[in-house]
Amino acid sequence: MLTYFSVIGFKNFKEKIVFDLKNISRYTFNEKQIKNNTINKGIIYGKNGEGKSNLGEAIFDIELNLMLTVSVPDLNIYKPTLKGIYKNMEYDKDVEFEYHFEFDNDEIVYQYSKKESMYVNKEKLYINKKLLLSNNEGDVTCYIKEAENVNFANKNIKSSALFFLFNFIKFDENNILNKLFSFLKGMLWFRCLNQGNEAMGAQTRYDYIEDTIVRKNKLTEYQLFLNSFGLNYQLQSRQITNPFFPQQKIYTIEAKIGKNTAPLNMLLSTGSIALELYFYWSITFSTVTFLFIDEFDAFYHYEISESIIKLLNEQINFQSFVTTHNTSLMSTKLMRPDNLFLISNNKIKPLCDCTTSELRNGHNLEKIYKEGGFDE
Amino acid sequence: MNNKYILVLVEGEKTEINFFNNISNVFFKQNHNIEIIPFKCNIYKLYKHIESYNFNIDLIDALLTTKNISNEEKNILINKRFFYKYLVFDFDIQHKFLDNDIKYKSLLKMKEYFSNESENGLLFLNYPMFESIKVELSNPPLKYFYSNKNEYKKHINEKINININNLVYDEILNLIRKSIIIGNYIVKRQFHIPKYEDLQDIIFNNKILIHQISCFKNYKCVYQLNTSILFLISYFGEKLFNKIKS
Repeated sequence: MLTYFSVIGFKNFKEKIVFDLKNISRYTFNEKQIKNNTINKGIIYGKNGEGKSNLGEAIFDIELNLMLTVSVPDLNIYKPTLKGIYKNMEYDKDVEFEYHFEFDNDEIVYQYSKKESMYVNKEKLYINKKLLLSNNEGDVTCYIKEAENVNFANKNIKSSALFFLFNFIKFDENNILNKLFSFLKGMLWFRCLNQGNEAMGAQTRYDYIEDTIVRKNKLTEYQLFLNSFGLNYQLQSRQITNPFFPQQKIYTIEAKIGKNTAPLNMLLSTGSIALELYFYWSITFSTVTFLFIDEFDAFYHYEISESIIKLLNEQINFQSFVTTHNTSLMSTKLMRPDNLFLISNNKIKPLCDCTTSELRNGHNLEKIYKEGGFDE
Repeated sequence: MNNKYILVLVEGEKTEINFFNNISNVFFKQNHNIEIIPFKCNIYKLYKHIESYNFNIDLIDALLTTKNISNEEKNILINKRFFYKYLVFDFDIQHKFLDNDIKYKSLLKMKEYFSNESENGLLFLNYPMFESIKVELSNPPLKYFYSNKNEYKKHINEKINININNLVYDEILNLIRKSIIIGNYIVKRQFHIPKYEDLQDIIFNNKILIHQISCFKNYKCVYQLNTSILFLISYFGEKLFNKIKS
């Protein structure tokens, strides 16, 4: 699990921002949202421009190091370097990241700094507080037993030494580094806004959404999913020639309306398209380890937002965090005061740390928030 | 700029306001602003007003639509955002112009409606009146046998010469401790500080009120208890409770 993240110098974070997922309180409700004494589920709020989206991008920066993002035709790759400026303009040192992971009883601390988005100039890897890998401007020292014969001189000076290691060595399944690499491969970020479907992480792949749903035999499940949100379509699949690759056949989904049928993607509203994207990614949930959905409910009715949060809360096998402006989700029926976060003034804190008052089960957190009861 | 506000709606114009101003200075200082607004009438008047809206009215809107609040106070209510609301009223069971059963029903309904400071508000009732706070500070008999409301106030102020408007931190903690012990005795017949989890019965639900109503019905008396000081426990929670216990 990811237990701690910090970054300084990235985008709007000119001061260090710390996301501490071990900072849990003794609430005795919604206990399933905590796993191994670590926050497993969270919702992140904050005013526009405070950095909710940037936090997600910062956490997923590690995926860039490990070259774990892949181009896909239907899902646009989201490249942070192309979106805004990577480094904070008021910060003149290298951008510094720190991740803490816990796998069973072992702890990994991974620190690195970058001069720019694709240039890792310094790294340190600690396992159970012991420094096992360091990279200082290309000068790599490695104390990992399995890496005795790895020649880091062959590494590109700008690339990550850890990535180099992962590419050279197939670690044993129980090896903590294998657990780390598996975790990183299971990280997934996505969102659906006006720019279309965007995704980051190793889970992204060469796919068409509807084709995948049909090929994975999920069409009936998809229909039930849409029906549960009041979208009462009867679905069927149709195989067509891929207009971009004529030698390929792909499946599309149609909706039966009376005696007629229509392509589903022509019937879906913006909100429904967002639901389709969610369903598509949910097919991969068995291999996801860490999920971040940015502006997850930008186009949802509040009831759908609540339903999606409930669905995510049931998925205890991976950590998930969403960003939103929807304050109706600030409810002790859905969440806890220590997994509802406010990002403001370069800090991210759980609601229970944003007030001197003790928050209880039953408190109307939304009302307290709207009436200015939390430090923001 | 600090724009966080807590509303404390009190019954009277003088005693409660001076007392809560002192509490605000000792416990809240610059963290939050506490606005203390007097309703200047008993709880039954407020009940009747809210009942006329079928209990479908926010406390702030209810106050804005009464004549009990001055225009200046109404401006405060309009222009400020209150994230917590507390109500402090006397038990007033000897009120002359209402049938007893109506009084019991009104009090229970108000306690139920005002049970969450982040929603409608959290109601604290003082038995028989706010002045019972002086009684708690001076260790007299627990029970008060009803005669006349004005006599109680006069009697307390004559007999007990304690200034409640400049209590310091430790004195307030002591007062909270006594209120909790008396509350626990009323509910459980145990004369000690209960566990934190058991404070629900004393602060949030209506168990004390039910016992006090029963006491009044059967013996024309109540246990003298000021519960309004317990709003500090509802606010600060276990952190403050642990200081009281130690």
